[in-house]
Parts: sequence; C-alpha cells; structure tokens
Amino acid sequence: MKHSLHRRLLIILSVSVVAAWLATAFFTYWDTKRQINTMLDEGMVQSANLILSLLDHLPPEDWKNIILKRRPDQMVAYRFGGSETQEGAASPDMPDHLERRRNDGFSSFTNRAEKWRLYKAVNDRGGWVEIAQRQKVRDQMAENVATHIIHPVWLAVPLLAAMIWLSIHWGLTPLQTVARYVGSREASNLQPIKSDDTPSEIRPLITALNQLFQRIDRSMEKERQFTDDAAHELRTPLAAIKTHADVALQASSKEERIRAVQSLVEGADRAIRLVHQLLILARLDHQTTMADQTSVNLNDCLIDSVIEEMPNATTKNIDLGISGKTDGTATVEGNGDLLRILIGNIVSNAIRYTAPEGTVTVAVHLEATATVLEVNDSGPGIPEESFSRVFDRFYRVEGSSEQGCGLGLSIASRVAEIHGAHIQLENASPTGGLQARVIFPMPDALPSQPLKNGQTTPHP
Amino acid sequence: MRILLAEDDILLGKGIEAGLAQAGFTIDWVLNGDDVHHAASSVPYDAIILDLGLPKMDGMTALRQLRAGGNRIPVLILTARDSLNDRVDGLDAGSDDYMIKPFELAELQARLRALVRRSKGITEAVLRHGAVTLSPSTRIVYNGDTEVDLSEREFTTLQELMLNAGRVLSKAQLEDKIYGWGEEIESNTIEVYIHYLRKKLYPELIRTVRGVGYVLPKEVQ
Repeated sequence: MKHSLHRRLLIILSVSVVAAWLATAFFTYWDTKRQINTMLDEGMVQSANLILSLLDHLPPEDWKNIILKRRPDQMVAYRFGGSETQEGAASPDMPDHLERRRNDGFSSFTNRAEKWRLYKAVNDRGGWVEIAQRQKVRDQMAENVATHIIHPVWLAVPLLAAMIWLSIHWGLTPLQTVARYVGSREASNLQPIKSDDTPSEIRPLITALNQLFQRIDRSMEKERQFTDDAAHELRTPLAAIKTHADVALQASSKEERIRAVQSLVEGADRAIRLVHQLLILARLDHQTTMADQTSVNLNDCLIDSVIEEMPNATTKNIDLGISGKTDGTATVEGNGDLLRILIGNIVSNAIRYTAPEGTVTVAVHLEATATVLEVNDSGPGIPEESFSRVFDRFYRVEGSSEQGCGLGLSIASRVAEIHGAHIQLENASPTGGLQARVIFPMPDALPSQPLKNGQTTPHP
Repeated sequence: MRILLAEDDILLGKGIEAGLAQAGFTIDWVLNGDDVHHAASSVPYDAIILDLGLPKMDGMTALRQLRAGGNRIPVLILTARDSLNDRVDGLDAGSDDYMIKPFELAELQARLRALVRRSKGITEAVLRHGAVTLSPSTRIVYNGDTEVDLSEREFTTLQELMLNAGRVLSKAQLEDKIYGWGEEIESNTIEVYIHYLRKKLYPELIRTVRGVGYVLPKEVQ
C-alpha cells in the first residue's frame, strides 16, 4: 500500500479540497463579520439621523422625551444636544464622563477598559448626536452570525470525504478491472491483453505489458525448444541403453551378452556426458556475472585439458600436444573451472573430428590487443555453410558420423561470452584442418576489432 | 524377414540390429536418408525402420520420396519426436506405424511382425499351412501336434514360404530374405534347407518349380 494510487489520489484530493474549503470558510467568516459591522454601522447612522430629525422638529423641552427604542441585543448608547455647549439628553448606559467628540463620523474610544465604537452626527443648527456601541457586543454579534453561516459548511466535510473516496474508487475501477484480469490469467496465457475498451491512461501500460508478454513468450519458446531438444537428445542414448539391455537379457551366448553389456555401458556414458553438458549449459545460462574471478594462467589450463583428453587421443592414435611457441605466462581474468571446460570442449571436439593418426595442437600467445588461445587440428574442417550454426545447441555438422551431443561448442561460446571473449573458426589450421581461436581482448585494448571473412563470432 | 534399418546413431543402430537378429530378422542398416531410397529400390524388404532425424535427407522426406515412387513397403517410424503433430505427420506421410524412443525391443519385434503380416494380407498371428503351424513370435513350428526342431535358417526359409503361400519364390528371392548385406551365401544352401524342411515336416509341403524356385501350394478347401 506504500505506493498505492488510491492513497496518493486520496491524499492529493483531500489536501487540495480541504485547503480550498478552509479558504472559502475563512473568507465567508471574515466577509460575514465585515458585513455585520457595516450593518451595525448603518444602524448607528440611522439612529443618529432619526434623533437629529427629532431635534429639528421638537422643541428643546420635549427633547428629554426622546427615547431611542433599541433592540436589547444591540445595546446602543446615545446622547445628544441642541448646540455645541448644551446637552439635551443621554441614555443611561452612555458613559457620562465622556468628552464630546470634535469631529463627526466614526471613531472609537476606551472607557473603563471597554472598547466602544462611536458615531457622531451634527446638523447645521448646531444640534449633535453621539451613538456609541460596545465593541465587544458588536464582535459578539458578528461572531454569532458568522458562526451560524459557517455551521452547515462543517456538515459538508464528511460528505466531501465520502464523495472523494467514492470518486477515486469509481475512477480507478478500470485499473482494477485490468488488474483483476491480468491477475486471474494462467501463467501460460501470454496472448496480448485487448486494450480497445480501456481508458487511454492505462493503454500505455497494457501496451508495455503486451510487449513484455511477447518477450516472455519468445524466451519461453526458446526455453521450451531447448528442453524439447534436450529430452529428444537424451532419448536416443536411453533407447540405445534399453535396447542393448534387452539384447543382453535375450543373448544366447556369453560373447553376445558381453558385447551388449559393453554397448550398454557406452550408452550410459553418453547419457551421463550429455546430462553433464546440459547441466553446465543450464548453469551458464543463468550466470551473467562471473563468480570467483581470479587471474588464471591459460597455459596451466591447457596442460590440464591435454591431460584430461589424452585417453581419447590415444584411442585414435592422435598426436595431441601443446605448441612449443606457447607463452607460459599468459593470464586472463576469469574462472579457471569454466576456462578448463571451454578448452576441454574445443580440444575434445578437435579430437573427435580428426581422423586417427592425426594431430591436434593447442597454443596460447599474446597478440597486440588480445590474448589468443588456439586449437589446430588435421581434421576435415567444417563446411563453410555450417560456420554460423556450429555454436547452436544440438547442432551437429551434417554427414559427420561422429557421436557428439552437439553442445560442446555452445558451452565453449557461452563461457567465452562470460569472459568477454569470442571464438573464431576458420579452415586455416597449419596442419590442414580447423583452427579455433579464442580471443580474450586485453582490458585496455579497443573493444572492436575488424573480423576477417569466414570467421564467426557467436555473439556480436 | 528382411528389414531395412535407417538410423544415424551408431550405438542405437547396433542395439536394434542385434535385438532384431535375436528374433530372426535379417537386418540391413543405412546411416542416412539418401541411402534409404537406394536400398529400398534394390532389395524387396519386408519392412523399413525409419528414424526421422537423419543426416543428408530427413526421414520424412525419404518416406515421401519412397511413397511418391510407388513403393508400398511397410514403414515403421522410430523416433524421439513424440508430439502429436509429429506422429500425425509421420502417419500421414505414409508410414504404417510409429514408435517413440526409448522403446521395448519385444514391442518393436512384435510390431514389425504385425506390419509384415498385414502387408501380406494375413490376419492371424500364427501362420498355418496344411498340418504345419508356425509362430513368428515364439519361433516354434508344429507339425500337427508335434513340435518340430528347426535351425534358424530353416525356420526363416519356411516362414518366407508360408508368408508367400501360393506364390513362387525364386532361390535368389529366398536368399535375399535370409542373408543380409555382406553375409556370404554358400551355394546350394537353399536346396539344403528345403531338403531338411521336407524331411522334418512332410515332403508334399514344399513343391519345387523346376528352374524357378519353390512354392507352398495353395490349400484346396
């Protein structure tokens, strides 16, 4: 809920509505008070004018009978006289020790710590009237009226809150509809969401979601294809194992049984190797950064790989060795185990595709901008049209009768990629076969090097 | 029964070859799709076991080519592709059966026998002719109620004659069914097998068509 749109809208709307509402209420309150004051002032002016006109029409002896009928709450005090010097009469509540005002119009004074507002009016014969009103009473009245006017506005607060809440809820309904729809989808359903009847604000989100679905679909399709291929590739050695086991069970002679069991073991070895390669590939697939990166001496890796592959080379009587020109000090930053897998796979491939009595030579040397690992064989090479595909998973060069699982070079190219290196293949081995070059650019070298024709990089 | 096996996996191919030989099948084995057509048009196989993922020409194309050329030989697809589409496509392309790797050897043998039987218009699993009963699956032959002990080759010769009852088989045709590629054919062996079959069963069972070959005369109902 921390980043809820609902909450965000609620807060923004509430704050702005409350602010606007407070400003309106405050203005109304202030304006009401001002108007009440004006009204009271007008009352005072009217009272003064009434008395003045009475002074005009009545003889001075009747002046004491002039009593201004006042509403009790208005509490207007007054006094008047016929001339500047003469005082006619005064209401009892008029502060009596008050000096008469010189100027007519409104003014204010303080009497016994009470503030008063006074209005003085004169006529042209010297008659005068002073109307006074306690400021406290005036304020009280204004306050009462203003408060009464403001009162109903308070009622609007919960109403407004409810309406804001409901509006947000209704306003966000399409979003929730989409959310519910997406939420209730099957994981396998990656069909695009229809955005025809969704609000234009949500449409970009849906478009982005649909694009994501497409990408996921493609990546899942790739994954599915891989699993499919993997299962398919496992089936063949399993079928061979099962068939040879059946043959062994049905064998009528000891020799036949031993032959079948030997084939059975061979099949099991193949299945084990395939599973092993698949596991390596699966792990490499989810590895984007390299763990355990150290400075690895490539020559040490070469020696390990040559020792590892020696039995296979010996079986085919292939001369496997490290070139005398190898730079024993060449190192690259990386993971030794992965680099040994890379070298092992390329070397084992070279041995597999080289005819008996051939040679496979490995070497490491430094070039201007890169450390280069080279595997040369005396095999038939690879047809040009296969260059682009040999790094594909489960791809085997057509027509070759060799029984590799088609993952070796995929793994090698993936390890190279993780190490920032790339693999070049060329039918240009000095020994007449395929030359595989793994190029580790030096850290300070320019990243892009021009490639010659016929060379292949698995990952541009 | 002579079977053509098209399988590029050498280890599995060896297994199938050995396993089918145990059941008395004669196997010729090709490693790519190109050779399927050549082999099938030069030898009258009883059935073909066809892998789909073959180099040079995939199994499906080889199968279509075979059917387009009018070859009606029973084909059993043996593949790791198990999707419904693959199976439907395989059967629609003209295969007669479809098996998925890994498989039971016994089932492969039985299905091949069934395919061959069906292609010869035989509905029973056991072949009968006169007093002779031959079971291709158990490889046991009865003459009446007595079990007859036959050698592998004698059995195969009898089976071929019974499968083609009423049809004359030349000596060369019989040799084709009995010997695979590269197996050395000793001269007069067919005559020797026929001799022993007549002796172990009864002489009138197999009739010689002079200068042509042998036939199991159609039974008169």
